[in-house]
Amino acid sequence: MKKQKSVVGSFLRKNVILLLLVAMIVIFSIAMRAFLSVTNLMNIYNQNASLLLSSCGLAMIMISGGIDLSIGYIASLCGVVAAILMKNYGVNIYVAILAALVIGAACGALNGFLSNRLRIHTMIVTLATMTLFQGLSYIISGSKSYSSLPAAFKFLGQGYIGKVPVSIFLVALIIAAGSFFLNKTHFGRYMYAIGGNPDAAFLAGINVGSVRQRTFALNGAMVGMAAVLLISRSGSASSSMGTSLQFDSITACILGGVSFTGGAGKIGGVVLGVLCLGVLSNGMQLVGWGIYTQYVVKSILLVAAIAFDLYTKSKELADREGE
Amino acid sequence: MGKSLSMKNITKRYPGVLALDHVSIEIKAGEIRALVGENGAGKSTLIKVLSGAVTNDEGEIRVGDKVFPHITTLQARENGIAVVYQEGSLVPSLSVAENVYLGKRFGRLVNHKALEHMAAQTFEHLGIKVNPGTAVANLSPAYRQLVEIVKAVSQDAEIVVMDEPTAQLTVDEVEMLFGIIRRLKADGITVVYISHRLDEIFEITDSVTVMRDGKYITTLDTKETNKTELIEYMVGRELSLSYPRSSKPPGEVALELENVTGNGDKDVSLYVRGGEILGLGGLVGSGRTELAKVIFGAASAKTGTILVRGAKVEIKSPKDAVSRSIGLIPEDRKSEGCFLKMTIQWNVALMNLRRTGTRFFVNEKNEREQALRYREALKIKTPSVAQLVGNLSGGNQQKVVLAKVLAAQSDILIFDEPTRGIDVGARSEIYELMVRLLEEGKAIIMISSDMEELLGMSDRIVVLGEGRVRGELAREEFSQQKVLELASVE
Ligand SMILES: Nc1ncnc2c1ncn2[C@@H]1O[C@H](COP(=O)(O)OP(=O)(O)OP(=O)(O)O)[C@@H](O)[C@H]1O
Ligand SMILES: [Mg+2]
Repeated sequence: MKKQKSVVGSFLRKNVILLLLVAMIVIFSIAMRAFLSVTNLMNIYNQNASLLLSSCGLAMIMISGGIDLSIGYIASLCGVVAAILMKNYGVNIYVAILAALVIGAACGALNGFLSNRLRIHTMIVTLATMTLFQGLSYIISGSKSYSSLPAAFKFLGQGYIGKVPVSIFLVALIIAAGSFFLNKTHFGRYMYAIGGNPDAAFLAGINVGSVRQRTFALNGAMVGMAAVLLISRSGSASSSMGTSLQFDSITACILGGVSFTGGAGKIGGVVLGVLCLGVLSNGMQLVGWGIYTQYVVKSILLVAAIAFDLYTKSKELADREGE
Repeated sequence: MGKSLSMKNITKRYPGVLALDHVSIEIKAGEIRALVGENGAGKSTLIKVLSGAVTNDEGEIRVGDKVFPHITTLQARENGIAVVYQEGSLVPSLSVAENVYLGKRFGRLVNHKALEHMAAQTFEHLGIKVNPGTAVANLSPAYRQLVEIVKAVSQDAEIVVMDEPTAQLTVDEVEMLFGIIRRLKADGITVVYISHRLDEIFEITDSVTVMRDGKYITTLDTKETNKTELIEYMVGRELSLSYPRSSKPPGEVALELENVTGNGDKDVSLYVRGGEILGLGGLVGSGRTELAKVIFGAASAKTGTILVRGAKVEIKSPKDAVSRSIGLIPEDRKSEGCFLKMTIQWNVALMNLRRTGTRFFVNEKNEREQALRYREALKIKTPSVAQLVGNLSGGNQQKVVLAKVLAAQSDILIFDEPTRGIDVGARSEIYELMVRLLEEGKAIIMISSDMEELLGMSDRIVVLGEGRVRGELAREEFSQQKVLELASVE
């Protein structure tokens, strides 16, 4: 009797996010014809391209048992530096993009390094560095905004091939690479290992600190790329840009089934999580709800997702209790 | 007073596994009943049905004169059923007293003094020496286990179920536990006792029920049966009880410690040769696990030298140890050994990614084959190697930990309680496997609290006590008494 219940329950638990997405799409497309148009779908993608990248990066951190609250200001810093390099110093766009990636990776490596060295939880470390990166970003930008970036640079975020945005290829490639990396490389295995059981990972001969630091660096680079897409799409950069990425990335990861306590999660789930958030915001915009109402709804969703994560966990625990 | 218990036609299915197949047992009030069977036979599942942690698909449970189609955890508690699980349920950051009385209400505020006082009395009554104010995190696994037992017993239990309570204990604490059980018996309380250590069954129980493959096999009067008969019922065939020996003489010294001090150990010197098993004997807290951690680089040695194959080495981390072909099977499988959320295949592959895959990439096909090989060799009971380790029975989880370390194919192996929770049949497979490793020239250091195993498998035994070497015994001098004498001299 319990058996059928638990089979259905476990199917629901595993696919709840997919069902949620489908339900939202159905509701919004019934409510508004414009919702399902190609233009609007491309819109949803465009609004969330950066979030896709930063969420994948964050997913790796969460899988390895950490959290990064500084993502938003890493993005802000990377974006500002890349823009200033191009605008004020006339640097080649590829070099500017590379600079954004390197700075992102360096910020991430710093997070990992501090957490290892001081032996404190990544949540505390990144809470501190968040303010650091924020400060640096505003100092460097002088609180100014940098607009009319080079056309070739803007093409990355704004250009279309036919009806398809150029960046979609790039984003898809990076996400596929990330997923491959997590599933098929030694390093990906180690991420799951240090997140799932750090003591056992240590005794299996894994250098837990080094894996953590490199994971943070990798996430930093992903966030750097996210920042590049972001400023390229809007054609301008300022220190306040990208700062919502951390909240949204965490929400997307948790919605996408990445465990808050580490050791579990899939990139595919995270992509669904981002889409959910994206569809929700877009739908709410179309319906004409204000930005603050959207905040309220998103935060309810986040709390629900966390509660659900804990519930699933306790379910699994109960299944296993005593073993 | 105790209650009688009967479970009728209990069936429990998991995807691909029939964990319990119409099992019926009856236990009289005040009886001490052993439950035995191979790993994965369904013992833990049966008692989880009894405690409400798992809901049976079919059957009914009768406790005293009440009948339940299924029992909830609350109903179980209200009817005096208390379970000591195979793996801990204590909160490490709370004190012993707080843990013992966790979930029991005495008014609104927690009065720590009163709690500790009450706990102290309970412990004294049961003859256990532990300070109720210490945090559980600071206790050794053995004492944690005792606290766990006291916790269960202190809830006005009428039926006490213990799932492998002695897996973590050495001789002394087992005696303490038996003291507790005798006191329970004197109070007329019913006890269900699960263990893979058959000697204990003969010492403490009145009757014994054997299970195999999720089925009830038989119930025997403990006085009227013997080990051989019991094992035959458990495994379904005859099994030799002797320990296998390697046919080859030991070779060169593989690992040597000279005056190693650190992590609680003082001035330890010892060596192990290729092709031999060095047993480490001693009581809980004698510094054996600590020494294993030093050798493996998981804790640092303050002074002294470690030589691997004659060359002085610095082992700063387990990573260094692994790269020098040293392997450690850790003592505590749940916290240090396995990854419960991952599959068997994933766990077995973790330390051997290079050999199954390439320098950077993994190869799932090879990993699967490897896992299948170890499932065969160690008799891991599971329908598929894609099963999550968290869904395996306790003994089978331990086998996965063994497989993980063995797959790394290290030359020097440290086994810390290798057969903890593993049934007799699989034990002899593991002993055979160890002998095969010896014949390949590998060196083994074995820590074991199971005296018979220590005496049976070791070529030499070094006895530790309070972090120092107390003496060494050659195989001709082996006896339980000698080991205990050395272990307990002041
Ligand atoms: N949550 C679960 N999902 C799938 N299979 C399970 C689950 N829990 C238990 N099993 C299976 O049920 C069978 C019985 O397991 P159980 O834990 O009762 O064995 P056991 O007799 O206690 O063994 P051990 O001596 O190793 O502790 C095993 O084959 C186990 O793999
Ligand atoms: Mg069990």
